[in-house]
Amino acid sequence: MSGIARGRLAEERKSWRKNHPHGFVAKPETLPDGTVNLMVWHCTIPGKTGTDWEGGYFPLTMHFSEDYPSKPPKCKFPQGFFHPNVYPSGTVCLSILNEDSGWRPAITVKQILVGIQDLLDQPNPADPAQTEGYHLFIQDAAEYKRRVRQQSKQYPPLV
Amino acid sequence: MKFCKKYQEYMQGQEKKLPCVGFKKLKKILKKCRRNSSSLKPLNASLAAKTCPDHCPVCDGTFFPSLLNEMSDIVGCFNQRAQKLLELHLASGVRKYFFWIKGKLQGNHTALIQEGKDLVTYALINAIAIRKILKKYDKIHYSKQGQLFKSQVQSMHKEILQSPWLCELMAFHINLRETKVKSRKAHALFDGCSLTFKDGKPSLTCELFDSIKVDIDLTCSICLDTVFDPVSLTCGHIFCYICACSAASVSIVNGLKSADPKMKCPLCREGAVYEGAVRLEELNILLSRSCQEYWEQRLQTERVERVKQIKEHWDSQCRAFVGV
Repeated sequence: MSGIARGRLAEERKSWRKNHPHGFVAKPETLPDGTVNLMVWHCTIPGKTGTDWEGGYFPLTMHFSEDYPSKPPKCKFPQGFFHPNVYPSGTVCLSILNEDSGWRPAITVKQILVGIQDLLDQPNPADPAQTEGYHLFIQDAAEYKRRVRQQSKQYPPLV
Repeated sequence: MKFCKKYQEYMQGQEKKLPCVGFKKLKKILKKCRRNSSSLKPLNASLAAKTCPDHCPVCDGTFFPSLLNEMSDIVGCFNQRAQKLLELHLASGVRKYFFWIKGKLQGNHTALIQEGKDLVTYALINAIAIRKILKKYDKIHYSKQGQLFKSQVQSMHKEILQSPWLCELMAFHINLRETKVKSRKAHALFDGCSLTFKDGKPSLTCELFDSIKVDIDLTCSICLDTVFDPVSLTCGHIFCYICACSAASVSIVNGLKSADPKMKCPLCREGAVYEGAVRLEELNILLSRSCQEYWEQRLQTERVERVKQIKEHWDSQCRAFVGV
């Protein structure tokens, strides 16, 4: 199935370069020998304007399997990323990235990244992935906001 | 002229007696219902929405079952006739002659185009009729039951605009029209179908009476490219054959018929849609003519993938046979 996966990713890349949302970055990994690996993409998601996440540019890695787009990509923030729906390993827990619930092969890289940006400021308490982020979000809103702002400062825009 | 009259004139003008929407009968049911509920109806529409029940015993018992039966008959008749026509057009020499002898259809080009035109018009005019009568239902009842019924019918695959044969007929039409551009008669015939490209992405478009516009997107949502060797699943969504096989987790050797019924459509997530999938041969011909460069390129990459899958299939068969 790899032919289909690579063909689709080449189309995704073409479509992204033609038009993508402002502030977002998504590009396939470049290997040391200069070749491009379409199966791993390095992305940046900007925090939404008018939210506590504003000003942060959060790095995300997307790992595509040979079964893509039948199977969704695995999306990972850096280890220890603070958010109720991000596992301690950095893996994002989102319905559209779950093969058994919301994933459809028609979902594009653009839609995934915008979906994750929305998730940042609108966590889903029904599906917690880390203890710390979840407890603060539920029990201590002020401390949760402070931690989010602090994290946003840790990820300034890359010049 | 009111649509109801236009519709009846059209249906009466058909040489063969075809299934149709019982417009008059359904309107009578709604009129009776209007009389029954007029005494209860408040002047304020927003109030009416609260007081008028979503379910109407007068209509639910007769209106929807009656309309559903008519829709089933229309779709059944349309699919059957379209299939016959396309079978004849795509048949090889001997089979074509055999069909012609059997008197299924006149063998000439103009008759084929005319038959195709009539079928597309039949599909679209019935789609309008159904849409109008359901709108009337919702207007009278201040409800959304009509819309709800429409979506239920879609999941039952009884919506005529969902039929893969409509897409095939539109492509068939353009194909025949283009092969005989110089023919004088061709200009006088139905010219509503066209293949359009927007930002390099193709779609089939068809208009009728300025009342309905069918727009079929021909981009495969799996590979995000123009559909190649297209196939329509029973839910009406179109994909490349090889992409559909990949989504159904079957090899191209075994084909879509061998797909697990639990497998869902990549777009609408509806189950059991692969077994009744239809290969869109006419659309394939149309696209291969319209996007020749892309077609050649895609043909080569597909060939590599197909050879690879066939090799894997036979390797596994041999291993199973030897008992490894």
